[in-house]
Parts: sequence; C-alpha cells; structure tokens
Amino acid sequence: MAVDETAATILASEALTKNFGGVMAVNDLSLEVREGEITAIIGPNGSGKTTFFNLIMHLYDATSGQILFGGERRNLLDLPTHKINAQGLARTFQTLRLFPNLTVLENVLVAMSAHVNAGFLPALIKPRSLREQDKGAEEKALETLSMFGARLISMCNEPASSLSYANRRRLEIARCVASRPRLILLDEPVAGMNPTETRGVIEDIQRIHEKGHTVLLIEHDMKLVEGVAHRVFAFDHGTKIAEGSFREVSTHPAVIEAYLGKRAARH
Amino acid sequence: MPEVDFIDTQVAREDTRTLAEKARDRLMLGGGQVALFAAFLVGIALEDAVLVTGFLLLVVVGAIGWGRMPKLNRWAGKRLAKDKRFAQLILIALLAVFPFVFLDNPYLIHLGALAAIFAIMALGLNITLGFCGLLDVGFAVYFAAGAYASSQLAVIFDVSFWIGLPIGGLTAAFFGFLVAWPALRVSDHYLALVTLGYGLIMNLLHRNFTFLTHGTDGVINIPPPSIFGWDFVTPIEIGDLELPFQMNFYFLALIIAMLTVFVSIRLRDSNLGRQWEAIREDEVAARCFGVNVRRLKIIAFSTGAFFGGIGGAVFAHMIGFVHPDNFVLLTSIMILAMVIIGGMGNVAGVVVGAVALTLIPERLREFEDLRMLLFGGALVLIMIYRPQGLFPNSRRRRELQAEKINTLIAESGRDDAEAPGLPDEVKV
Ligand SMILES: Nc1ncnc2c1ncn2[C@@H]1O[C@H](COP(=O)(O)OP(=O)(O)O)[C@@H](O)[C@H]1O
Ligand SMILES: [Mg+2]
Repeated sequence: MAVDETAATILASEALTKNFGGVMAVNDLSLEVREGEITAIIGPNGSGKTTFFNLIMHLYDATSGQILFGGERRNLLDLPTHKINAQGLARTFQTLRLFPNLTVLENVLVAMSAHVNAGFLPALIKPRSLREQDKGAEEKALETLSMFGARLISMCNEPASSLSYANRRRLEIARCVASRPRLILLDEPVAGMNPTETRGVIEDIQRIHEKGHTVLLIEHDMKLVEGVAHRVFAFDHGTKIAEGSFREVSTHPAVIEAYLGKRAARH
Repeated sequence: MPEVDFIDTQVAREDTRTLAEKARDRLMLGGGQVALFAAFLVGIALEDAVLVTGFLLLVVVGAIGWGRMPKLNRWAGKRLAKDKRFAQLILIALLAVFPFVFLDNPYLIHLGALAAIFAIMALGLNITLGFCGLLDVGFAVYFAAGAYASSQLAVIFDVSFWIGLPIGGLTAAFFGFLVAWPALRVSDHYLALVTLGYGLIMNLLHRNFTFLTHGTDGVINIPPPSIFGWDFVTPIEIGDLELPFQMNFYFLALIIAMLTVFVSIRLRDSNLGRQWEAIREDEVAARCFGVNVRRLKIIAFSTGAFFGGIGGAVFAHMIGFVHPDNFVLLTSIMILAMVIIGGMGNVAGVVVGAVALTLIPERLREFEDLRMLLFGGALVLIMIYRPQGLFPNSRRRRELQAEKINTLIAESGRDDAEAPGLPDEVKV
C-alpha cells in the first residue's frame, strides 16, 4: 500500500509532550494523520500510544505542544473532553470502557449524545419533535449495530456486560461509528482475540474505512497492520521513530531495534 | 442467515389475546394485587411488636423464595408487561382505598402520608444516586431547606402553602446546586465525605441561625394547607361519615408522590436519563462521547434536592412543627437506606423501600432502643445478602420489531459462522 502525500491532514500533533512526574510518556511528538487513510501506530508496550489518544481526547493536559484537528486546525487541547466528539472524533479504549449495565443499544445511543436533545424540559414534556428525533436515533443505532451482522443486534436489549469479550470489543467500535466521526481512534481493537476473530475485525475496520471514515489505530503486534494500514508510525519512548508504508517502517533499523528487540537487530 | 428469536427482547408486541383470555389474565393479576395489598394491610395493622417481627420474617422468607424462582419471576414480569396500564389502575385504586380501611385508626393514615412523603424524598435521592451514581449522604439538608423555607414563608409572611411548596423545592434545589460545585471536584468516597460534612454543618446552622430557623425552639404553628378557605385539618364529612383529617394529607402526599414517580420515569427514559446512567457506569467513556458530565451532575444534584425540598414542605405543613432534630445525620441515612434497599435506580423499588423503612421502625416502637439495633442489623444483613437491593435495576427492554432487525441483519450481508448471541470461544 502506497503512501499518498497529497491527502489533506486531518490531525496533526505538534511537539507534543506529556510528562507524568518524570516519566516522559509522550516526548516531543510530531506527526500528521491524513484524511481518508488507515493509519497505524505501532510500538512496544509503554511507548506512549495510549497516552497519545488520551491527549487527543484531552483527558490529560499536555505538558507542552498542541494537537490540531481538521481543516480549521483547531487545537483540541483548548476544548473540554465532552466537546471533542462533536468535532468529529471518537475513540475506543484498550481496556474496555463500555457502560456495562446499559443495554447494547443504549451504549450506542449514548455515543450519539452530540446529536440528540438532552434537555431537562423536553425530557419531561416529550414533544413530538423529540420523539421523532429519538426514533430516528434508535434506527440509526440499530443500523450501526447491524454492521456486525447478528452478533450485536441480536443482543441489543441485553446489558453490555452480557456480551462475550470479542463482542464487547466490537461494541466499542460500533459505539464510535454511531457518533458519526470523521476520524476514528482504535486502541488495540483486536487485543485478546483469536486469529479468526482478529481477521473479522480487521475486515470490519476496512469496511468502516470504505464508508468514509479516517482510521487511526494502535496495534502493538506489528504484523497485524500489514496490508491494512496505508501509513504506519512507529513509536518508542513516547516519540515517533519511523514513518512510512508498512514495508518502510518494518525494515527501518531503529524500529527493528526498538520494537523487535536488540537481538533481532543483530541478525 | 441466522434468524433472531426475539421472544425475550420484544415485550409489548401486539396484543393477540382474545377477550376471554384478557379477562382471565386481568382477573388473575388484579386478584394477586389485591391479595398482596390485603397482606400489607394485615401487616400494618398489627399492634404487637412480636407479631410485627413475625410478619416481617414471613415477608423476608417469601421474598427470598420468590427471588429463588427466576422462571416464575420472568413469567410474572411478562404477564405484568402485557397489562401494565391495568395493573397501574388497580394499584392507584388500592392506594385510594387504603385510608378508608382505617377510618377508626387515623394514626395509620398519618403513617401512610408520612410514607408517601419519604417516598417523594427517596425518589429525589434516587435521581442523584440511582440514576447518576452520585452518593449524597447529606440529603436531610434539602429536606430541611424545603421545610424551613415553606414554613417560614407561611408563618412570617402568610404565604400560601401552594406557593411555599414550589419555593421550598427550589430552595432545596439551590442547596443541591451549592454542594454540587465543590462535590464535583472530588470523586466517589470523597463525594460521600463532602456531602456528609455538608449535612453536619447545615444541621449546626439549623440550630444556630435562630433568626431563620428559631434554632432548637423550632418553627411552630405552621398553618395547614388550605384551598378556598377550607383547610386540611378540617375533616371532610360525607353524610354522617366524618373522614379523619389525616386523610387530606394522605391524598395530598400521595398525589405529589405519584407526580414524582411520573417525573422520575420520564427523566429515566429520556436522553438526559440515559446520559446520567452513562456517567454512573463510566464517566470517562461518557465524556469521550460528548456527555457534558459537569452539567448533568449539577442537574442531578439539583433535581434530587428539589424533591427533597418538596417532601420537606409537605412534611412541615402536615406536622405543623419543624425542629433541627428532624434533619440529623440519621435522617439522611434513612433516606439513603430507602434508596439502596429498594434498589438504586429502580423507581418502584425505591418507593417500596421508602414505605417499608417508614413503617417498620414505627411499628417496632415497642422495642424502644432495641429497635434501631434490630433495624441496623437487618440493614447489614440485606446489604450482605442482597447488595443490589430488593429490586435491582434491571434494564428496560425496548419494544423493537423483530422483522426490522432481521432485515437489517440480512442487509448487512454478513453470514456469521457463529450463532448469534452465543458466547465466543475466546475468553481473555
Ligand atoms: N496516568 C498515568 N500516570 C502515570 N504514568 C502513566 C499514566 N499513563 C501512562 N503512564 C506511563 O506512560 C508510559 C506510556 O504508557 P502508554 O501510553 O499506556 O503506553 P502504550 O499504550 O504504548 O503501551 C508508560 O510508562 C506508563 O506507565
Ligand atoms: Mg496502550
């Protein structure tokens, strides 16, 4: 897969640094994610991948630097977390963060918060316009769930906690898609899955991409992103050590050394 | 293509029962309700504390037995869902009949009114704690705010109860809003500590801000509510029959409690309510999906407090006397226990919790000091054996069209090897 240098930048990290009391989780990180691509971030555990996502969602304040989003190049670090989704960003969590006691359908409906009226008076009065809006949201949510065949939708009225592990991961993705983002951030979407499930989810990701979403995904198993990612960033110690096509990055000496270990580099 | 069996998900599909079947179902349902109600009447009318204890034990055994029969539970649940409206009507009718059963024992009618008042307040706390997951251990603050505001307005400024009531609620909402600001900076256990301190400090102020509260003298001679010159302590007479005036308060509190139930359900089923629950379940995830956590928590605090204040206002005008001792830590804990034991988030459960925890301690008065000990012990046991409360908050199932969902699955064009709903092989 070739790297297209003409595509517009959708997300840019500029000299981003996050210092956790001496631990430089993200260290002077600059990178650009291109609109319309599937981009993968690879890197060993502890290399700052998840922290980067947390910074994008402004769950932490950055020590320095900025994260610019979209054509307007809005600095996400100037926005509170709950306003970031409406900008066109949604994420999954490496350690699953579903709403376990809400039903599968409700999990997806919550993700559409930016698109529905959550006013106090409308909740009491329930005007017709709101009822129609809710009906529409419910249909959209079901449609999104059907993205995974019968797996999720057949459980739509069951609590999310009753889903199998793999289906929980799928629900995390469905929740993202339902919020209609331009850029979807997936944090190790296939962690803990068996090879068959992994293949399925990777196909799902490609389908999401075909529907017009830009995808930025984290994966620590480098082989998995081969043939999927148009562009790969390799992280180590909180910073980008290589960038390019999978082939370029996977053969980059710094990556082999940092990522596969010193022993591999010697061979 | 796997077809989905929606027996479980679809509750209220079209009613296909014949008239005769419907009549039979409703007769059974209504009969069951009347039987339960009769048992309740027997329980509440028992005078002897030992008998009361025996009755309670029976109830506990019954409840445990019921809980052990999930099949029966589901069956009953489905039955109930089909005739929900009907069951609600019967329930309202029974609640209306209640005071007429005890015309010669007005104290029990008074207790009924008190139970309704506590139900209003417990439903308020249920919004804060049950829906939004915010542990407020100082709920008596709002009870007091409503009681003092409406009673002092009436005593000093001669303001009508009907105006004092909403003002009492709004005053309490303001006190909820006040604590929301500092409370939202901390999380979980610390929130409990902040609200605990708030409750203690406010109770000190009740005792010492005598110009507002008359301190430990209390506010006395609070006029009863009145409508067009008729006030609530004047008994209504129907022919020769004089209805005890406690009945007036009973119906007042009952109607407000029913309104509170209505508001609770509307809120719970709204987008706002769903976002509250999302915050309760996972605040970080909720925030990442556009939920304005701060705004929603403030609304949850204020709305919950509002109903605390409404309960307080009705209480003050019913009892006619307001004293700081009404608003101590124990009061907050009782209201908290009503919500937790009833089942956080479950509206009906919280009402049952409120009624039970109002009536049981009253009926155990004979045991004197021992009663709080017994009562506390019972609470601990319930929390050990049934931490989710008597009526855990089960998810509302939506009415969805099976055909539509099957079409969606078909259109998705995915033929999954794995049967729908079956657990995946892999567990991590
Ligand atoms: N909230 C936090 N507080 C302190 N240290 C953290 C925190 N989050 C991450 N770190 C540290 O930052 C580094 C990067 O972590 P992370 O971003 O989770 O790595 P990755 O996702 O690449 O495995 C690790 O050393 C981790 O211990
Ligand atoms: Mg990580």
